[in-house]
Amino acid sequence: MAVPGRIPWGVPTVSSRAADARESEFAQLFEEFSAPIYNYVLRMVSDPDRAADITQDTFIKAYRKLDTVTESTSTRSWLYRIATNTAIDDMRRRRNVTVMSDDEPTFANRADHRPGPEAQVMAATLDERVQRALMSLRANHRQCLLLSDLEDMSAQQIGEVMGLSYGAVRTLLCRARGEMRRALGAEGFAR
Amino acid sequence: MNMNRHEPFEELISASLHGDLTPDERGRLDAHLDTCEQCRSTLASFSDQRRIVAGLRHLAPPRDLGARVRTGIEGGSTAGLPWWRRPTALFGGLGGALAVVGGAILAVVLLNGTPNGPEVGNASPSPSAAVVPSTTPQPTLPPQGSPPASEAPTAAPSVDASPSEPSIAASPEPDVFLALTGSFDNLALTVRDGRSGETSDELETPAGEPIAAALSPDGQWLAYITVNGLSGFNQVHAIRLADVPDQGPFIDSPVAVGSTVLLGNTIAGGPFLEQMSWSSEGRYLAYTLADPGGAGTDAWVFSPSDGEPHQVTNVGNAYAGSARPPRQPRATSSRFRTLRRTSPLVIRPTLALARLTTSSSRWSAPTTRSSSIGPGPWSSSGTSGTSARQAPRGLPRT
Repeated sequence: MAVPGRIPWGVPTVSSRAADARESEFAQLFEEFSAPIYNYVLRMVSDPDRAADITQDTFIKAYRKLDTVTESTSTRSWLYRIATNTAIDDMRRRRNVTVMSDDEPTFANRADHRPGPEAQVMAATLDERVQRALMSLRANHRQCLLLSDLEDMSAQQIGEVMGLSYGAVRTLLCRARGEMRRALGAEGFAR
Repeated sequence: MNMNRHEPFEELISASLHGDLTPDERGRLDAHLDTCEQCRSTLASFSDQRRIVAGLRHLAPPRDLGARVRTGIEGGSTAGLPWWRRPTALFGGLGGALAVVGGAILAVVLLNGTPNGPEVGNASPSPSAAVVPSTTPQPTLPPQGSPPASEAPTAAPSVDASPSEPSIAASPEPDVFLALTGSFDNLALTVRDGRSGETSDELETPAGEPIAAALSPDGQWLAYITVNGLSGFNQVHAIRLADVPDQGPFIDSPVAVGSTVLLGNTIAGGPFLEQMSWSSEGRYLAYTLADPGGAGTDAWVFSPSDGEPHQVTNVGNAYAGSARPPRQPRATSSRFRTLRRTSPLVIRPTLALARLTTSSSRWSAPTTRSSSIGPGPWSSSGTSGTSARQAPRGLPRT
């Protein structure tokens, strides 16, 4: 009879403090950043399933590249960069298989998958309207804006994530804000 | 024209929102704002916008994200392996093969109206055939000089196959097959060599088809799960295939070669209940049993060294995710460590990565709910005991 009892654990044959430290470091990384990364990606792609997949891929990649993180590297920027690139890859793949035009989605040409008008009114929370406005932005504008306003990153940090210079980030961010201002206006936000 | 005049200041306004202005830029912007109504409006608009975006609802990631990441990391080590050695190939190939044999059996029964009709092997050259890869690939990686797929037989001989020995269709070759053959009232489950298709072991006649299998890295053991008829339960088994390991250390076992150990009954369910993971040297098999009595799921391990299944958790909501090589012991007085969630709705991400740590080995056990470890000699840290059952599950060795 199989009785819960002492398991005959063997003598460890693979003992690696480095490996143990790596596991610990990764677990800490996951604990700290999994939720923020998921939310960042979710706002990027506006699809919980895709966001989960991208977040999953992000952390798998991070685990494999954990050795490349040095003390001088900002772990947060590094992780967000992986997430951003993974999300961009995902969006590119999907754009390649879509029948729609090569333009970025806009309110005018974006397919409306929303439910009927009544349901929309009922469900159109503030959050959804903001999300719709975000999704109308160009991808790089959306990233920039989210990193700045949602993740509260400085231009320097955004530059590390997006691979842009400090000046380029400021310019991009300004354009993103202008675009978002118009998008929010279209969603009924004043100003 | 008007835009051109304000554009530089809009960039300064944007940058000012997160404090990215030099003192000089700040001075210029302040001076301009004093005189420009439009830029004051822009500042107000950008500030509102930042507040709105920052206030977006924060959603909890999926509960199984940690388990998925862990599975991906573990599975990712098979990236360099050919498809037939990857676990997914096993399940996919086995499922497809079972669908074929199931369809063939059904066709035979329906067309002939008698269970004594021709054997499935005659009706179809492709009875159940399953690739059985190792989940810990490094010990089983084929040598560089191994023959390419083109040189290997892509299918077992079918021309001279006898009715009782139907050919096994598979390409390229796996290490071993699990082959379910025969008519529905005369099923036979055999282990066959991946290259030759020859039967190496005959397993006990199962009540249903096999649905998952895992070959130990040293090639000595094959764990597999079969459907237990129409009962809604599955059975987990392990058969000892060899007494000498292909590679790695020799792990002796009281179980004779060719003998099968029944590792337990489990409710048929999701993929986690069909996942079995060997540790890197084949010392332990981690698997999950869902108590047919309704007491939930718990992680178990099978140890070839004593030939017995052992219940690791007794909490009703634990899953065995993977087996990992032994590591340095942690400085903890508890032999197992896990976490519990802090609220009924929020799952802390670390929970999914909760690991059961022993003084010499570590088993990851992704859980979907609060977990505490017990009973017996194990203790939990940071948790309070919950739902410990009195009677352990498991079945005697057969």
